[in-house]
Amino acid sequence: MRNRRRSFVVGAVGLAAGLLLTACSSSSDSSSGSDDSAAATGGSFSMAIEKPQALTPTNCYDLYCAQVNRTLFEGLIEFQKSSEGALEPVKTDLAKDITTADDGKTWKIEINPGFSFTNGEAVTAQTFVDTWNYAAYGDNGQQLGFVMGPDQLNIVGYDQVASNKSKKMSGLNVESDSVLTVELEKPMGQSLFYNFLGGPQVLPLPSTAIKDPKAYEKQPIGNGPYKLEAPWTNQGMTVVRNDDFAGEAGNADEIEFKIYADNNALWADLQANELDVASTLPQNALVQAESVLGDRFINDEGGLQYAYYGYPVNDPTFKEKDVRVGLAKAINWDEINDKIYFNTRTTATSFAPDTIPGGGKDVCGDSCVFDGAKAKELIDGAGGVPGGAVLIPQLANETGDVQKAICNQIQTNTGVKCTPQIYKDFGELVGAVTGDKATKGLIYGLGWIADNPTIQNMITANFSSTSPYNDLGYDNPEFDRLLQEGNAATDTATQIEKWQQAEKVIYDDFRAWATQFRNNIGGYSTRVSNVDISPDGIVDLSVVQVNS
Amino acid sequence: MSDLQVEAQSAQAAGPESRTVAADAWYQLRRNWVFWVSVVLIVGISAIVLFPGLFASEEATTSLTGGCQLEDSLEAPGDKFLLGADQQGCDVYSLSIYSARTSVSVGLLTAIGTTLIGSLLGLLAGFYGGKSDSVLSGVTSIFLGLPFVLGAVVLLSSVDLPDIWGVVFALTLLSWATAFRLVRAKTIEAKGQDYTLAARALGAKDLRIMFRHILPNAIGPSIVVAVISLGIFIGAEATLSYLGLGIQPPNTSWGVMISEAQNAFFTAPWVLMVPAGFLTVTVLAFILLGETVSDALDPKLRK
Repeated sequence: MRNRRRSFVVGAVGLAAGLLLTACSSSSDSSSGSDDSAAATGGSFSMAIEKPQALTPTNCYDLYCAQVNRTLFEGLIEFQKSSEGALEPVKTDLAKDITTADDGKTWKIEINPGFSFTNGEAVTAQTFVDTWNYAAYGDNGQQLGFVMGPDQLNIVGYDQVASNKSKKMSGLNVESDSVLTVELEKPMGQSLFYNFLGGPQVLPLPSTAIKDPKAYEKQPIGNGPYKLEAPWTNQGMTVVRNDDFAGEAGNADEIEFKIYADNNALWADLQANELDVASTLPQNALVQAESVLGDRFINDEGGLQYAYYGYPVNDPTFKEKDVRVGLAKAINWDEINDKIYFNTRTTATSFAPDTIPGGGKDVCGDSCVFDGAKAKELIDGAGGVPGGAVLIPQLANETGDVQKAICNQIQTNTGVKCTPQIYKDFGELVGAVTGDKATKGLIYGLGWIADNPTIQNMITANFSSTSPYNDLGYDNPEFDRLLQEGNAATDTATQIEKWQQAEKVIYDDFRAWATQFRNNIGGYSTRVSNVDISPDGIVDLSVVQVNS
Repeated sequence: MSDLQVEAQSAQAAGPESRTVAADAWYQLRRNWVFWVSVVLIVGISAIVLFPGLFASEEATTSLTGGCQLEDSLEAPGDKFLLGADQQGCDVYSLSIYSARTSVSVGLLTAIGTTLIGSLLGLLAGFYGGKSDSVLSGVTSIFLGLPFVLGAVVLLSSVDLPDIWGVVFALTLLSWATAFRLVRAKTIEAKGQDYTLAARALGAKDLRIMFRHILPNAIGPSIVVAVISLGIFIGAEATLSYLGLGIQPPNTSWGVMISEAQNAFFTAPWVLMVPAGFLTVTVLAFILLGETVSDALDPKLRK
């Protein structure tokens, strides 16, 4: 999972793998389709994706699989934008009620009757219990079974099942056809529990998926608004509307997912109107995308991904806080965003964008405000950067534009020598800060893609002292305490407040700071309307209309 | 060319006083305007490589001295920047001038390397013949069979070699075979010549025969090939750098500049056109020089 759940989004416009939630962007607030009286339903359109690693939900951890599964499946929770614009987990048509009677230790999930898989099998309480047990069972080798376990849902009996000692988690019980109960090891607040139920990994599987996983993977059978009528291939797949779907039906009759290995080909097809929807664009299209596509260019702020820079704790180069703050203040992110990213990113002042409940605040304050003169003053006041030089990491497959620009600004404003340091891959970069021979003077940089829209998810992996992903070696008991208090809080407001306080601790130490949020970039053809990319990067295809 | 000119030329070639091959070649060359154009270009390029400071200011190529301000990103050619600015706000003209050294160095080092290795091995194989010749010729055939760019890409992406020397190494390894073949053939030819036999009869050792008698007569063609391929190597370096396998930033070469210019080609074509122009002119100059020299040295090719 290590490589999947975070990406090096500092420089790369690279494609994010690892988004674990599927969202419903409900009311699309961009392209309004009110004035076109074109046929609201019917027709077919195409969307570009990259080849998913797998389509079976319990193995689905890339964005493209999540995108396809949004049309094939109906889960218990989906994400909708609240009135403040933040993504919040809400029940789907399938879920009637999800409640707890004992402050989050035991949960009762009641589902609406009438939903069935496209092979006729009904979706019942038993379906979910079977699916989750199947996912957790070690020998089944389902990549996302860990979601049932520690630090995630943490269902009672997970360890027994994961270690193949039992086939059933004792915490999962079927009360009736429509009711199941879930017992957790530790109490969990409603918001967090709902968030965990929003991912594709907990979608229901028909019994045939458990009996013959290989055949199922070729042509998954779901319970959603669309269905797959033929096995999917390396070229893509076509889904057609499921007329028996009990929830809200999709608009188009047919959606074709085209697999592109090369984003430049995608961009060419989009310009030629041969591709209808794209939720990514190649780097070299950014400079001209707006002038070519006009209103059909999507550039939405609030993507659930941040890039950050940090100072490895063990590196004496960054012992002085004034040096750390000074280097940060020497970089003009607004200008980098304008000239290098062509305004497809948003300068960050916290680790959570405003699409996350409690996010979008200015937690960083003055330290994140660009001021070249002050930067030099701080660094000189602290006796300069030991060694007089810093390095900015760059992965071999990146263009290096950003790293160059950052270095140029550090050099211009502070006189500290700065060079991009190229690493072959992600593993080599992590090794450069965590190994015994850690590189001195390296300003570590990585990105994070949210698994779910909570502040907790944005800060835990990179900064919790117990996290295996904490490469900086950040260790502040105060931070850990606040984070844990937030996780345990059952009241959503208290929870968010604790997490915000924990976030503030990172900025007060200034060991790391979020630099930018990645906007969701895409575009669509003249053939379709009502296309919107949700903050998690997924397009709600059910609402897309094909113009007549 | 008209018949009249052909006659005139052959009349000159068979002039009254007899000339050495070199003198004859020089006689031919100085009447060829293409030769002079390429010489002027190469002198210019050499000056740029040796004394870039005469042509541009190094200060404009680094942010340590006030160059490369992001606010100047993609600034069009004009008063502030003669040939425009790149995405980082660096002066494209100055950067191109200061990139020349890397590009030309790679070409020059590779040309020298291939000529040295190829000639030496060719000399040995041709002189001694027998098993060592069979083995070396076999190896040469393998190297000639390797697709040049593909071979370099595979080599550079699988072996971790440092920057400039890595590119030189990869290009040399894949290109020495041509010089080998030329020198080997010439050596075999010269081995049977009277002057070689005479030297041997006088008791000269192998080494003396090889380096004093055979090599001077066999090296000519491979030097011509070296000049032509110098241009080709400069182009190859640009190709590899463009693919991200050649020169690595922060070092810069024309190939690196071209590679970095792609993103903004439609909005700021000068970022690509300027280094591409320098590259084309340089490659062309060396190829033209090589070809005119080759024509002059080989009377058979003379029209």
